Amino acid sequence: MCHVSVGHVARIFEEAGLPTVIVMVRAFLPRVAAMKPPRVVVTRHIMGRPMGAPHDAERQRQVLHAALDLLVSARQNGSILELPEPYRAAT
Amino acid sequence: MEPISYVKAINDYYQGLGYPPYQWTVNTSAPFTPLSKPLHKCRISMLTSGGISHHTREPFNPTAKNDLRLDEVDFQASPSDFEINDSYYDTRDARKDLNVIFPIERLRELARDGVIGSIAPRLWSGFMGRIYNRSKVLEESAPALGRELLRDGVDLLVLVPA
Repeated sequence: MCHVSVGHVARIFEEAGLPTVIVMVRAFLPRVAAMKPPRVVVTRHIMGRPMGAPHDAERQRQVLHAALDLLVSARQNGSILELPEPYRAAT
Repeated sequence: MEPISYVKAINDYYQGLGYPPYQWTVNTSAPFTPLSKPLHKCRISMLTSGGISHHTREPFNPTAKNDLRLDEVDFQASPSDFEINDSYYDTRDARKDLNVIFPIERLRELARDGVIGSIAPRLWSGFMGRIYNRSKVLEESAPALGRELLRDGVDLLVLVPA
């Protein structure tokens, strides 16, 4: 239930005035979306690899960038951004 | 191949062990705080629930329930100095490269490149799996962490659940 705990934590901080963004794999999206966290970036990655494959620095950076960009661009609560890129093993 | 329905699989597994059905939270609105300054001036902290611990500390108990332990992680720590103990997800790739679940080196690159202002001195690992005690999280653990973030002057928090 760690996704759920993290969803609670995000909501609490946001209520207290601290902007948050969650980065997670798609598998738990339905449950997390029901909690309405403030901002979520969803990757089409395998569970346990939310940022990308080991040593795929390019993808990891891209996901982190997307999360930070969502912090800048989101104008409303409950913003969920799904990144289209499928999981890839590092070359 | 059909995708695995993790939520159903988890429900089936825990109910098979004799636990009652988990009461998933459903909220109807989301709180929202806009970013108050440009990213390149923001100080960022990060939290993972992936059971990562620095080798100088006790490892997390991989099968713990309601474990509200929360570790501070030095923002300059080396990714190879961590262990990962969590029976709740497949940790094999995160063990090969911590950045898979806790992108500490990617954060440092963004700070070096000036995309973000700075990284908070303390990052965080905790709120591991199987926390059924929602009120404890809501009323104690999260507010306690909030006070520490305030002390570090954190402008935004990135959360990466495993």
